[in-house]
Amino acid sequence: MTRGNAIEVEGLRFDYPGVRALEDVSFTVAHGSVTALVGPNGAGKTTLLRCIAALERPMLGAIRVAGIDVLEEPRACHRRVGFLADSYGLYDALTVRQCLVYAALAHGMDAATVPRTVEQTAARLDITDKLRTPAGELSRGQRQRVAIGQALMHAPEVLILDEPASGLDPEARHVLARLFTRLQSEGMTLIVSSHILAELDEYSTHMLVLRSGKVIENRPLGGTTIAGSRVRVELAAPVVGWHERARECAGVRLLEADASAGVLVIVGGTMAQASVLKHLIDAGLPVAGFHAERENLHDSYLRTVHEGTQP
Amino acid sequence: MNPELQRNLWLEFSLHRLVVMPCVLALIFLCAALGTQPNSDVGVTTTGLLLYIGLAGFWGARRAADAVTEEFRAKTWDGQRMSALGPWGMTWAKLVGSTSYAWYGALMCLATVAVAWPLRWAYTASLVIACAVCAAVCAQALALIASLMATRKGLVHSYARGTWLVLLLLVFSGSSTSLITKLAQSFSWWGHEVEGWRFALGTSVVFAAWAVFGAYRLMCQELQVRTTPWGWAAFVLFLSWYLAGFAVQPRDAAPSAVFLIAGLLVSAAFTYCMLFTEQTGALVLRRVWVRVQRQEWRRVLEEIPCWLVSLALTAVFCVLLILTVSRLPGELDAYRNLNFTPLPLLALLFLMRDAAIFLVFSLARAPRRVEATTFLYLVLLYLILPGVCKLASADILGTLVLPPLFKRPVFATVVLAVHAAIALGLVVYRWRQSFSD
Repeated sequence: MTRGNAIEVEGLRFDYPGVRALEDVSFTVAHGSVTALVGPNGAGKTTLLRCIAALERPMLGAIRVAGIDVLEEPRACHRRVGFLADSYGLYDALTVRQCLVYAALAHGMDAATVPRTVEQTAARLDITDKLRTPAGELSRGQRQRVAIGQALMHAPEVLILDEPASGLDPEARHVLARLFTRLQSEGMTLIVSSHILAELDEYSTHMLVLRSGKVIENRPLGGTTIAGSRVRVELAAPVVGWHERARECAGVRLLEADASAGVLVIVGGTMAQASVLKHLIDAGLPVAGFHAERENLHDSYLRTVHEGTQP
Repeated sequence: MNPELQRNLWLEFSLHRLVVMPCVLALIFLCAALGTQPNSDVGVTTTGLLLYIGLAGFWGARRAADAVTEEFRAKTWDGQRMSALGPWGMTWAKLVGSTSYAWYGALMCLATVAVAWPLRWAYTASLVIACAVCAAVCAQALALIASLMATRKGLVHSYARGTWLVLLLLVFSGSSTSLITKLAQSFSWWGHEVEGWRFALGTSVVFAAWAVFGAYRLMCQELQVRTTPWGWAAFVLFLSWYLAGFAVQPRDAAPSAVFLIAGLLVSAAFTYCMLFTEQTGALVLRRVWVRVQRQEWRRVLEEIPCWLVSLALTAVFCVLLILTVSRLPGELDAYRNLNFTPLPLLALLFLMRDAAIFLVFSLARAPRRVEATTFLYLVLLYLILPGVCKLASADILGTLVLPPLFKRPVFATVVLAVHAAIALGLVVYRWRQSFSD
């Protein structure tokens, strides 16, 4: 396993009767990253996550999680991974405290440390006032936090979440995003699948796109990538064909443009960006705005899928 | 304390439930005592035993089955599979924990029976109670096995099927109780005189242990603990040995031949049983085949289905039996007169043909109701087509469908070999269609 990778998947194949769910899937996930696993329905996202969590055995391929060969030592993998399924999986008749105590003891924690860990986890997830409430009486957002608490009790190195935000209201999603950002800052690696790209956009550092059981993109998100920086240009007045002037500069690629604005990808850092700006002003264009732009996950996903469908 | 046991105790016991059970049982026993003649304990002991069967046998088995299916329905099973609990800890905690409240009542019933039973029959009472405890443990472990198998096969949502399964288990436990009663006399086992009740107790203990062991082995598979199927093979051999003991007479010249016959029958029966009950889809075989191609032999053993292990054992018993029969001593000439030699081979050919028919349907691109379809075709081959041929006086055609095994064993061997070859050819064709890559 390469140092710096929390997850390494190579040549993964998974079949259901009559359907190949995953085909030659290979990718890596960096330590301390938050990877958004996105793709249309039936792309194989849940199957992939279950394979990584050692809940399903693939037909072919290799998976290493936190340095462990998942197929050789699935039980060792379970100790290093936290998994949250989309259904949450709570015992409705137990109180929140009992749910957390059970999760802690079932993951082999020392009984003496469990009460303190339960209190800490409840405080971290803002559910301290619900510890005596049966899980069946909680709202969906609270249930989800308890389920995350269960998955976090044994302090896993990798946290796998399948559609964690489905059915949550905007406030609960925001709380969730903050929690994931905090977990990442504490060094945990997260891999999150979701259909709601706007939600993933708040905390994801990487994007893994799956379609028809194949990986079509795996890259970091953000303004700066290996391909260059995204820069938005705005003009004070419309100029037809202004972007042709921009493309005269070396290392500039046009992503989108109309007569009064556009998005460029500029290779070469801030000096290259300054050079392009100077070129546009020297060309007499009325540049009113020129600023680096963080790539939106939604746009990025659509572009990836679009490029993937190009002949 | 085992956390799974603790969780079950949280769910099973409350102050209300702790109080209700003894109160209800006390009222029932009071009714039983008042309803029978004075100074007679028959009503109380009978009521106690019936209540025990209901609580530990029926309710306990149902709770043991629910121990897994409820987890599956509540979507908590994955969490349990990923826990640090080992398969043994999970198995016993589920067996004891999920049935704890049923046992709470059942043990009160047994205590009442023990007190009410006349003192002069104390020995018999202790044997009956010990047998009853072992039978209940056996039924509960079998229910857990059934629910684990249903989970693996994706049948967990068929609640009605589970209920029927438990009812079947109850019928089974009832019939085994009558069997135990019949065993009250002394009889011969492996040529030795054994006392019936002691033997029954030994049998109950051993089969309860096997049932718990079976549940443990299935739990190993569910929790992704890598196991090879030696446990299954050992059980088939044990059951063959156990059953053969009843057939061996005190001065039998060839007890080993009896063991081989029992082995052939038991392994063949289990091949059918497992073929229809365990996860036997095309993907299971494909996975095994991929491991064979990669020469990952330990993986092959880990992933091989139990029906294939049973089939292999049937083949071994078949070969050993054919070799043994030819050397049987003179006392067993009666077997030779039946032209016994090809019969094991015929059994193997039947088995191979029927398993191949099952595989032809399970290897379909979108397999549906494989078990029911196979069963229908087997009924056609064994009953309907031979019956139609007989009614239509088409005897020659009839012998080609179901050849006369005892009258013309060589002809039957050839016909069944052709059947098996055709069915295996279809399997190969379906395999290539399904896995053309």
